[in-house]
Amino acid sequence: MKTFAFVLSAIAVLALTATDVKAQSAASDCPVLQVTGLKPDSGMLMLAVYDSRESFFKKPVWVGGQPVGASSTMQVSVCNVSADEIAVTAFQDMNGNQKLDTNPLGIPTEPYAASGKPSMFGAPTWNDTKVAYKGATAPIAIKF
Amino acid sequence: MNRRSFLSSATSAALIGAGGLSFLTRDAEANTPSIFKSEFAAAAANNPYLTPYRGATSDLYCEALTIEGKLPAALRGRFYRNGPSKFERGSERYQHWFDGDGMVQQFSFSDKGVSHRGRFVNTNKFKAEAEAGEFVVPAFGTGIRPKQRITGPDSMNTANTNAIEHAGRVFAMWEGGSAFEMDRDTLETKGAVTWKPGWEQMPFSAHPKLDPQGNLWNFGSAGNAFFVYHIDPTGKLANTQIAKLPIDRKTYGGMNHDMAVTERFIIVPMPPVTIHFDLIAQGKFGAEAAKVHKDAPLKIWVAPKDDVSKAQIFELPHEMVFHVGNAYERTSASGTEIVMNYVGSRNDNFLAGAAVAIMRGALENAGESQMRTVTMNLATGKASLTTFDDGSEEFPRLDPRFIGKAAKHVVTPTSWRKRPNADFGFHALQVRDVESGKTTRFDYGDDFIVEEHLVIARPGSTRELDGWIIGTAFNAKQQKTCVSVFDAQNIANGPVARVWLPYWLPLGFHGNFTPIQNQT
Repeated sequence: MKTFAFVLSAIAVLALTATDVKAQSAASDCPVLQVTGLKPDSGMLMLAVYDSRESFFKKPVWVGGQPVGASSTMQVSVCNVSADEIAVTAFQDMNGNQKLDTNPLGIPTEPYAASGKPSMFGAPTWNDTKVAYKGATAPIAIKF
Repeated sequence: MNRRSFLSSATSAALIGAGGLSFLTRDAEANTPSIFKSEFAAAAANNPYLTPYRGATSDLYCEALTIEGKLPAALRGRFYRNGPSKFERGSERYQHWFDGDGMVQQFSFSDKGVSHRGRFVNTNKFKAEAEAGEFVVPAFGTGIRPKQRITGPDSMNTANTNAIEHAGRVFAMWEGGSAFEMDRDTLETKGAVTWKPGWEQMPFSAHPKLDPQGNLWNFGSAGNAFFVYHIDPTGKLANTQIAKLPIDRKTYGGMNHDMAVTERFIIVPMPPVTIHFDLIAQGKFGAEAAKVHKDAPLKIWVAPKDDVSKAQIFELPHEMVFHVGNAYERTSASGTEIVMNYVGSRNDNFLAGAAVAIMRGALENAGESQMRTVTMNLATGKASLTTFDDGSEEFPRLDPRFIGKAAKHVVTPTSWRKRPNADFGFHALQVRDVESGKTTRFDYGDDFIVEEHLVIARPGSTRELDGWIIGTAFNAKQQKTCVSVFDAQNIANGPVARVWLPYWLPLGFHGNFTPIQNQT
């Protein structure tokens, strides 16, 4: 007996056309994103890396996409980012349209995730999702 | 374009509730779910009327209910009900009646007698909390600290408000998110219903209207965003529409609960209510969190079914509205009029007061809720209101053959006397002539809490109220729930039959009946 007045935030979907950055599978000397909870054999894993609060959700310094295979886990290396801290956002592009789909209320209809400790409630923020990059030795966890 | 180099940002995750929900500021000494649990247990031990608010602990089944009296031979079908039924996990108890997980009850009337099956709706929330052994997501009136990510309304969807069978599919409905489909024969939950691609987790309200032709009409709303669904008699989605309500979101949009349909129009009452999830998240549910704006009028939204963008809004004196009885169109000298009856209450204490108090076992005045008839002239924009103030009533239903037409009667549970230990529930049933206001009543007596009753058409008949009225009631003395069957044209003489469960059920909200001959 209730209508929840859902407050919706905007979806930042950047259709960048840069061609000089590619996702790389587990290169040896770059920090690694350990992505878990994917739906196997479904669509593309899409990743974006930000290096500051100011650029968060506006201008990624690194982006990439890889087909999701038979495993629900993927490892992706992120190289050549000159930052002490980064924040990573991700979604699984199930239908290959290269954007995070939403329903008419703006609620995502495809799986999404972020680094760090994203809030249980609401859109990820720089503060919630930032993690150490420079000198990182352990994998950076991205849990779908 | 190379997909690997076609770059996309990731999510900014449009979500519910949004930022600013601080679970850190919760006052641990205030009204916590643990305190509610202990207080309710103490109160329920001394008040047998509170038993249904304990909630169910498991699914239920009874193959042959005890029949008292003689069931009509032609009464055959499936009677569904739904309501909040799981209130406690671990050390916690919900703080609002609306929070409990849905449990669909199905009474099957057949040649073999009457059987009953009750199953929890196995929502995403229910599954996660059953596995965890504790509440893991916030509820409408209880600021449970989220222990898993909320990815949209269906993360918290309890599917607890109504159940209906349409075109062979059974739906358990909430208000803020998807309906959940259940198997007609087993009540096994199939999953959330997405009516069309891209409409995952969209609000599908709990009061769809099934018109006499078999079309199912419903709406969903969130703030000033409004959605209309038309599902044809075969169960296929015929159409959806999106509208933006011309309302002030600081005053309206928090609880648009029920609707009416006429042959050409959809009508939705919009009470001046806003819900403040930041306060609820802090464990501060109350009159500020579920705010009824006392100086603001009740608004009634009236829109053509074929183009809801052409809506009109009528304003009526302030009051709270949950439920609509019926509406129909008529032509007057000054133009088309919509006549609608609904239950209104000028005492706003139910939502943030009585529905909270009952969860700690306290009885609080819910206020009088009374039947109104409003006549809205589409040409002049003027509305007139008639009030029936001869008792408190709720959960209005009518002969389903007259939905959207000029029905003369509405059936409601009602009360006209106080009961110290059971004042939260009704003690009687009435059929009201909404033209004259006259009522015919049957008093169940002090032992009963009377729930919503439905009108069932006698097969082959056409006259209004030619059939039966059936409904559930809890008997506090016997600690059992029964279904009573009345001759719809003569309820004063009492039920012609009563079917007893060997156990009690949680008090429910709403339900529907599917005659077997209409089975698809």
